[in-house]
Amino acid sequence: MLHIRDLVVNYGPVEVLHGISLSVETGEIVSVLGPNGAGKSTLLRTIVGLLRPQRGEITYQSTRIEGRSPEDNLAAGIALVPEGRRIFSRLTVLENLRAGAYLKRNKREVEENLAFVFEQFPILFERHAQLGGTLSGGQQQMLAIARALMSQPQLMLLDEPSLGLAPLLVHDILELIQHLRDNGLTIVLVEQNAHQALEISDRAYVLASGKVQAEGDALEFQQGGLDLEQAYLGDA
Amino acid sequence: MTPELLTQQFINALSLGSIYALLALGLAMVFSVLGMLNFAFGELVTVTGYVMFWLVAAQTSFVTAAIAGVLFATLASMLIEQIAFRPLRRAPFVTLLFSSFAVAVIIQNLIRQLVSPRPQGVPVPNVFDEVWRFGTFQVGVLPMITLGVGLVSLGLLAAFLQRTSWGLAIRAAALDFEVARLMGIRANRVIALAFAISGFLAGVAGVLWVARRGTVTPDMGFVPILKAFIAVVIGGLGNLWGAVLGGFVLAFLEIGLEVLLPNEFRPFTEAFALIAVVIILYVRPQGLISTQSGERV
Repeated sequence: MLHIRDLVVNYGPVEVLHGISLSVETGEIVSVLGPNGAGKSTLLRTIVGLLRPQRGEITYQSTRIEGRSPEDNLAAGIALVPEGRRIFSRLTVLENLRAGAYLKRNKREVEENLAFVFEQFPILFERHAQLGGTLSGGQQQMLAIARALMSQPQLMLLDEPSLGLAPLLVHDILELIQHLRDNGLTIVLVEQNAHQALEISDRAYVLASGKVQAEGDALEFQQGGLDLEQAYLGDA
Repeated sequence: MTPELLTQQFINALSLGSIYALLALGLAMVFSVLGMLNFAFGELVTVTGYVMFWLVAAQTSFVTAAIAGVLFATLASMLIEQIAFRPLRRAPFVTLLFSSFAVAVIIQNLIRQLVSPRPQGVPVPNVFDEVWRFGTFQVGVLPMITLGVGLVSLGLLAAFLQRTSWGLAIRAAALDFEVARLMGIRANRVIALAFAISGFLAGVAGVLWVARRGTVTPDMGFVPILKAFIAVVIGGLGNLWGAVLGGFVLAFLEIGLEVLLPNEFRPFTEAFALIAVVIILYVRPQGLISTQSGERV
């Protein structure tokens, strides 16, 4: 579904990704793990079109998409749940969700989708008239994911959804991600929380110092066939 | 002070406040979406004034001239976006600052060259100078019209922002532009829309401004943008409804000081108003309504 080849991305004058290759097949959960500053967020931001790569190819459903705008990518089915949740704090929960459905012009479809999302997240329905900023951290993360679902994506990129959440909530969010996959979504999950992320993943890439240091089945990492710690150290 | 005088001044403050609110909202609209002040905003008031001057001089009715002025300001604002902002979308802050400042200077000087550097009179309908009497109470017609037009415009805009998907797009983009793009909200479109609304508001405020002054001058945009800027800062930068509130607060400060200060201090009313603004900001540096955006890590 998503194939990336030799991706090089600069952040200002600094090269952050030095030739990344990665692929994601339909229906998979693929984790991108790695230490802080490894370039994980940069990778997601480049896929979705917020950053332009210097070199390299990104192919999504057999179409080259590198350098395409986030708006076009969303229309094509790629949604990013950004790091730090970034819900619209001064919009209500319902308005946040409607913003997520901005591209959907078919009103009935939007209402059906809204009903589906509220069914999945009863707490969001309960609080639909509240300002997003008044929700707790875990609820905000649910809202961020629900908002992305409103565009009915095929590929969802999640940037550190467990960041700053209590362990129990982390478990809930990861279970939710698994549930979304079972409903037909393909998922790329960026996490620092490696062990928990591996539990729900099919495959994983370890990114350090802007390069892929290791890749393989999640099981191989878990059973020690691939050395996670060693990969984390990267070039250092 | 008699209740009659108090009522009258209260209405004056509301009327001036609605002009300031329109101006502040217009300035805040672009600022909150783009993170950038449009220094040519005051010139939108100026072009509204000159379109009206020209049409009224050509025997057009005041109302028609006013509508044309508003339309022209809206178009001019969108044109400014196309010329001075869009090509520089990725440029540093200072570049945009200079380019919008350049637009302001160019417009002012074009008017000086093409029309005149001197003030031009715009005859205002006589009814504006009349006074309505209710028993011992009397209120000027112009303040009432100003208040009415101001509130209707603000109401229409509020309905647009709160009830339409374009309005939602603007509010979302004002809170977090990048995430708005992730929702599929097109950057160019939402910015153009913000400039159009900003121009519309400047136009409406411009009409009301001209109706108060009865003259147009090439530099007439300076006071409006200054007031708008102060109101926006009082209300909390980047906050749309804060800007409206800031506009009314500023007007009440000015009119209140004008009424309360002894005669010999009258010339310094604006200075005292600014001191009051400084005090407000000392107590609430983030403005009256603070913008707390989503947690950013």
